[in-house]
Amino acid sequence: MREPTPRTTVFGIMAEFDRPERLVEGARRAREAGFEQLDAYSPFPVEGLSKELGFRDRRVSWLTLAGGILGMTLGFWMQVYTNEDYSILIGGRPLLAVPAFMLITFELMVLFAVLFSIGGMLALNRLPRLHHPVFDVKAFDLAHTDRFFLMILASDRSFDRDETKAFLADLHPVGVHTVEHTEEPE
Amino acid sequence: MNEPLFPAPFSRNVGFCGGLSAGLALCLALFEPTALFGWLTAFLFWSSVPLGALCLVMMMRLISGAWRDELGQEAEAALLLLPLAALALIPLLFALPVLYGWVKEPVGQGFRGIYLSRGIFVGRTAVFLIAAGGIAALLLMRRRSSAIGALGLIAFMILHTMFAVDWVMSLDPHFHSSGLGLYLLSIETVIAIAFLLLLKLIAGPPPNNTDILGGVLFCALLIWAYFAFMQYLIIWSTNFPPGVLWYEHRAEGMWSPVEYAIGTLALVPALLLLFEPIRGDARWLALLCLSTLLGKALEVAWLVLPAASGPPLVSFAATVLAFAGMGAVCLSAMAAALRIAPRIGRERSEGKVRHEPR
Repeated sequence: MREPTPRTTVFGIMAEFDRPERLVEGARRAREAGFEQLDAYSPFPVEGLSKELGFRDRRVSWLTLAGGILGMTLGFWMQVYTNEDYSILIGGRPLLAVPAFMLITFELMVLFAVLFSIGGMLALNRLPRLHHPVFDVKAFDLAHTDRFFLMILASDRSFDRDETKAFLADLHPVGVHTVEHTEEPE
Repeated sequence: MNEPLFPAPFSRNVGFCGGLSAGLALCLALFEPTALFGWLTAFLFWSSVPLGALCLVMMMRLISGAWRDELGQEAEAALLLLPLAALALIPLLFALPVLYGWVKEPVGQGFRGIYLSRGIFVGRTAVFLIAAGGIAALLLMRRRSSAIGALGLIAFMILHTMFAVDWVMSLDPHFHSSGLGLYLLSIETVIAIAFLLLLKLIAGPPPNNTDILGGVLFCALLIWAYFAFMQYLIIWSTNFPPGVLWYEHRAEGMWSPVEYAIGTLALVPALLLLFEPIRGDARWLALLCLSTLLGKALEVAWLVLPAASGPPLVSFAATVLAFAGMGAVCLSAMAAALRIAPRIGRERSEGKVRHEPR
């Protein structure tokens, strides 16, 4: 999902719901109406929401796999290298003792997979970030407690300031908010 | 499951053919008693369905989630196969001197000698089967589920290690590995999961959460890989002769390619299950279950048959006959159990309604 550039009139339009089911329902209807650039905010994970939002981004999974493979290779290579470079023969153990190498190989695979997973998630979310346009909406503070927000971003092809606003008002939300662009830098 | 697995007459015929094949294996054993090594192999594989399912049902009582809704009925039905497993064990009890060297030549004085004596061995097996049956019955009655699940898992883990030491480890009385019980249990659980999953994918209504079922199989395969490798690593590191010989013996001749096949048939499915489109596809998952089951059948044979004395062709023939026989009986019994198992719960809940004051 691409964030709207400052060339669009506003950042997006956001509907505020008081129940998680309404948010999921709203996301479903927005997708049915042809909107694709959606985002949602809720105080806790809502089951089925990512599916209704059409979230099919697998980049973090692939990054995790890549990290795992890299860690595995590095871990194994590190042990082969040290044993070849500083060869100490102990108790008839072969220099390249593959069974014993497996533990460190496994540990580094897990370490790199986790680091790639968390680092990739942060980078793809453009985090850490000091400010976000939604913070300018006053009611947005409630997204931490008991309100659920559905936003249609201005980068959507079918976005029209007035029509989209009318569409969101049709979903029976508690309120509809226009999210303005913030001044750079964020 | 509302619709039958397959029609009752067909199921009966399958069971009958299975009984016939198993009977042939036993006839073979009358002429050449070492054929019972094949029977032991088949027993260890097919008894995994109820024993592994017992472990699964206890975990299902403690761990909620979609896997419980998807596999719960099948796993509970598999518990009803426990008496059949006990029945399959009877021929082996008569043949202990053939299977276990320590019956004829006691392996030591003192505790070890007493522990490995025929009467006490049979007694331990009886304790294990009665305990397993008792836990299964309590689970099926669905009373105080989580307590039975938690205590049952602890008790079962200890008793199962005893069972594994007796029936598998003592095939070689000098071999010692404290991880063998857990290793065998991981094999049994993988077999139970793959078998029940395959049954559900082929015969049942299409599952709602195929990817979660794939995740369960993935998890089981990883646990198996951990226990299988840990036992190997510990024996490799200590480098003591009995353990090394145990593995060396299992890497000789045709057992060497079998070892590679065991690893490949389990690790390739585990790798493929990483990918969501494969994990979520019923046909792929069925294929991976088949591969897993084949690998585990080889692994059970790899554990038992290298210890077999007598002509290898006979124990091979007996393994095939007994394996096919017990498998067919198991399938046919499963079809019946799937019809009976849901009724056990329902009668209880209907009974509850009747007893309530009006």
